[in-house]
Amino acid sequence: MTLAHSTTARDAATNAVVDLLDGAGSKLVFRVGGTLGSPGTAAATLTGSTPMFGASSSGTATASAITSDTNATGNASAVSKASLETSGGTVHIYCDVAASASDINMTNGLTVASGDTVACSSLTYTALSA
Amino acid sequence: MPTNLKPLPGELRATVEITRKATGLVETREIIGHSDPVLLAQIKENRRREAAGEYLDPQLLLPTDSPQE
Repeated sequence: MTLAHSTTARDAATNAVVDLLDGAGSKLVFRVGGTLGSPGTAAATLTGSTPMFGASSSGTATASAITSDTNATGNASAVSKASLETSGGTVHIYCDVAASASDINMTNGLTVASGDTVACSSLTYTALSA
Repeated sequence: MPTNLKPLPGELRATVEITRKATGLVETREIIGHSDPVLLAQIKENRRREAAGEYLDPQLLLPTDSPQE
């Protein structure tokens, strides 16, 4: 049996999550391993606007401008997780990530070196499928 | 209350630019996070095939994926 949601329901679900990140200093963090309850080591930390996301449309919320990490901590291991969290470090979204690019080498994945600048030009979140 | 509920099918997408300190080169990555491990595995497999120039199985494509023209 399939399960479908109205656009109103999808927007409500997405807004309920991203509104948890409305406070100043909410962050997008790229990490190596870990879990929601025990986040992995941060390789790069970017700071969102206040609020971090605009209102959901068609079930998807788009982030406002995100400040780059101009001196990333980096890690020898590839980034495998991303988290969205408050300025105080309360994690509300924690997910496995896959990366792609025209020049990608999937065996190395996404690796951030110490001192690299990491910018995010687009960030969207969708809570429910249609 | 049940405690073993399957996670909702949430999805996070980001476009990330990394400027390498060592070389000054800029690399662009599309990051996709998914709460469904099966779907994420399918995305990873498609990315691997895409990078290798292999055939993309339409059955493995998500609605937001598109094979290269």
